[in-house]
Amino acid sequence: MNSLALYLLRRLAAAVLVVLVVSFLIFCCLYLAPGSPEQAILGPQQATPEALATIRSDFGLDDSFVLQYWHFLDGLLHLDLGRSFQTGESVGSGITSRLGVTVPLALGGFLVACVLGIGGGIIAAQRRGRMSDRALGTLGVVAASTPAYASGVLFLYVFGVALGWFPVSGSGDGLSDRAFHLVLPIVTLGLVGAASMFRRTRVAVVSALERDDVAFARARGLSSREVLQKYVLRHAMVMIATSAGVILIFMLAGAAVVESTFDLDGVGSYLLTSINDKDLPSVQGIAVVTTALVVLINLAMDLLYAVIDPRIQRGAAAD
Amino acid sequence: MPADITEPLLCVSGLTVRSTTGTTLVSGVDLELREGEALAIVGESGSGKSLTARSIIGLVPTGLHAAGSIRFRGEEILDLPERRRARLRGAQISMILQDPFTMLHPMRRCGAVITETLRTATGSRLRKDERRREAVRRLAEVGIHDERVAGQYPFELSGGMRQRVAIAAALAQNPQVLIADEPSTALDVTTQKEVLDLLVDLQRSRGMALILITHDLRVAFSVCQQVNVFYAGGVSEVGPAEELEAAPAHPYTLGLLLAEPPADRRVRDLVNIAGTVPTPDAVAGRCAFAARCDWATDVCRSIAPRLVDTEDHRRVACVRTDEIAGEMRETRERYETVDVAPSLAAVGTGLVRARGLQVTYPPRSRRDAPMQALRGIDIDIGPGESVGIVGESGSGKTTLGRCLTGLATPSGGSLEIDGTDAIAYAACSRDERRKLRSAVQMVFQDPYSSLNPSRTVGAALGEALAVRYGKDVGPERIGALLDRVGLPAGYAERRPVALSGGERQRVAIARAIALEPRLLICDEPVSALDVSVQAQVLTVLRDVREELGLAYLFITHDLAVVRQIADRIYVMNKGEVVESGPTHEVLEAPQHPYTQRLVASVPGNDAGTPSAIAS
Repeated sequence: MNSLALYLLRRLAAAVLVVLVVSFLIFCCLYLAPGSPEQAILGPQQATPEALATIRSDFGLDDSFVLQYWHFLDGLLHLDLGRSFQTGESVGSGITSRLGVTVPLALGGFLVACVLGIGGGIIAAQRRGRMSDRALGTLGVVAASTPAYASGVLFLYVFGVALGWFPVSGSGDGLSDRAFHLVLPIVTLGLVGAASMFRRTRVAVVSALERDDVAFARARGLSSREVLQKYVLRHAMVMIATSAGVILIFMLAGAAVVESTFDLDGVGSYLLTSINDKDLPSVQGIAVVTTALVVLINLAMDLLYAVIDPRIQRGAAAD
Repeated sequence: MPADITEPLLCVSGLTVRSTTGTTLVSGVDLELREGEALAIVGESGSGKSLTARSIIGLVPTGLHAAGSIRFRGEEILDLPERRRARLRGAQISMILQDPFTMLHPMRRCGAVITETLRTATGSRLRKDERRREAVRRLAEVGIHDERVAGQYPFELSGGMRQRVAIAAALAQNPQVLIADEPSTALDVTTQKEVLDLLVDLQRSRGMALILITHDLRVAFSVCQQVNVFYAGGVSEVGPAEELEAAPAHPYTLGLLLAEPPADRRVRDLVNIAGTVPTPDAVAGRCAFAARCDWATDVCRSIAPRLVDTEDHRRVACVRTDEIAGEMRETRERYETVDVAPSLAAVGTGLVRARGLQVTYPPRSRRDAPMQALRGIDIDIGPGESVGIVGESGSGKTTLGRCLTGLATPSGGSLEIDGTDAIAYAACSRDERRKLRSAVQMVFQDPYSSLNPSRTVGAALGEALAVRYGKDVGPERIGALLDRVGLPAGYAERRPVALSGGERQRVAIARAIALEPRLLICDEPVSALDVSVQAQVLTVLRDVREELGLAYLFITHDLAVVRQIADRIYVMNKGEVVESGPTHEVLEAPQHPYTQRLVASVPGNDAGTPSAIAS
């Protein structure tokens, strides 16, 4: 297990490095972006030269590029992402409060994607070539090719306006109300992920079914349930887990679209507003937090492989 | 249900396997297996032998459908519902597959694989300590006495060990019938013999019936009492092994026997069966072998022969078998008595001279030691000489070939090719490299991956010729090159996909000799080919050498093949040359224990050491 700890340490160090590099790139992009932040902060009316100068010194905008980045990094170390240019509130707490919408949305969508995608994929693979396989495949194509904002609007119309089952906007207050508000967004987000999950699972299970060891297991009389659990899914698991990681990351990105479609106050809509307002600290903060989340998901996936496949732990070349 | 005394254990009749698109893959196979009998199904690729086995065990691949009748202990099992069929598998009929590297679950420990089908009388799984005890007992039965193996993963074991574990797993529920589909083909020569011996021992000690599927008649004869020869989806001949070997009654069986090069002598003319195995649909309504048969008449081409009983328990699907028996016997005698002394060139020097040649591969991970593929070997090849390198996987024989072509970089020793120092290929000047590259050319093992599928044969050969003759290579040069390897000039227009394996390998040879090299390295050039085609390619190689006078370095694991082609051989084991000398001397009187083991492992060669048990 010592080697596993070492492996973990190396991956963690790499993860920190990735976050650093990405934060630097984002910082550069925003620094070089046209237009000045102090203009955006004041708006067209009060932009007197004195007011601009005060703002510049208040937010440290006259410092050199390196110094500004250093301040940003220093804040990052203390988990301080700075203050929003627009509202003056802490970026950190702004993100945290909105994660209360985005995390349930992304995780819920992920769950829907996994249950529908993996379940459908296994069924389709086992019945490959038959009618049910083709029907599921068609559904998958429809789900994959419908953009989230289109299906979101459709759901809003059918279940929100026409049937009146679900609320049409807002994030809701309290646990149950929020959950109620999130049902349609989660289904919308989940369907897109489910389509991609379905296709990858089907391919993984079909190729696992064609393996020699699966044929050998059946030839020795293992029941089809045992063969599915111990053999087929075990093989397909590495590929399914990889897809799941990609889908989870995709859910974070897709959340932005769904949040604005359903008028949810999540991290995604926060990012869109901040970009429009040229609110640099907020954009930076959201980007760094998202990067850290993505890196963490990837790290978790790598660890999962080591658990799934003993060959990785024992350091043998996979054959 | 008490079976009729005369009813065989397993009876297949009129078995046909078709794809959903209507292609016939197996057409009307009949088969009888008696209790405790070892039966061989022999055939080349496309003969339908594996699909027959899959039909018997009820695992026909998706998209295919089996029809006909398969009776096990008198009960029809072909149309049983999947649930009842699954109950027979493992418990009554079990099966092992060809490749021990893919057959075992890579993520499950060997002990778990062996015991996973075991249940108590009440149908529940065994307790943990019982499973462990069973695993150790089963491993011991297949000759693995190291208890730790039960707790190891397949990737930690050698191919032979994996195949033993697979056999133990297949036999866990003590089935009446074991189907072994090419169980030794993917293994090294010495391990092959061990696994086959193990199967015979198990079959006898358990009184179990064995169906051995193989492409190798010698393997079939050495293991089985009863042999079925399959051709193009049907049975062409059935009979007791000794009688089939002594006097084949079907021209195809005779062809197979003759095409198999003998390991104990060098024959002047290798017998080959012209053409390739047809698909069952292409030969429906006539004798499947007629197009390749020397004795075919109009009768053969107009009706499909039925499998009919002849004297002494044999069945033959040939309408002319009685008429041509005499001629077939003469043909066999003619070929088998020819024995030419090898052209004994003096130990050659001059073309290749390697001294203390070493190759070390960097370790795969930091914990591993560097891999020494060649541990300082001396090799000499004279101009025009045919030298064989014999060894198993891991012997370093392929690395040696790669060194000579500059594909692997030696880490020590000296290497001189055609007067040029080739030890540091990369450091050579452009001209030197050019000279080396045109002096040494290579033919690879797998003709399916060594040709670019998107280019025509003509384009591939033209490219090689252009290196020597400059831009404009006329079609007549390409035609001449194709002619040299026995292919019609029209093949220049074809792409590799339209060629059979043997034809592709001829194209690969043509491409290699286009540069008029002085040395041709052939790395297992016939081992991926069917027996009847092997001889065609070997003949082409012999002819090419005679005409062009080039030297060969022939790398192979097959002693019979090397005997036919090499004047002198080096036997390699674990990166070292353990023995060398004229081919006939080394093979007839091997001095080194390793060579003795290799020679003893040739199927049907029982004179050597008893089978070693893996430790």
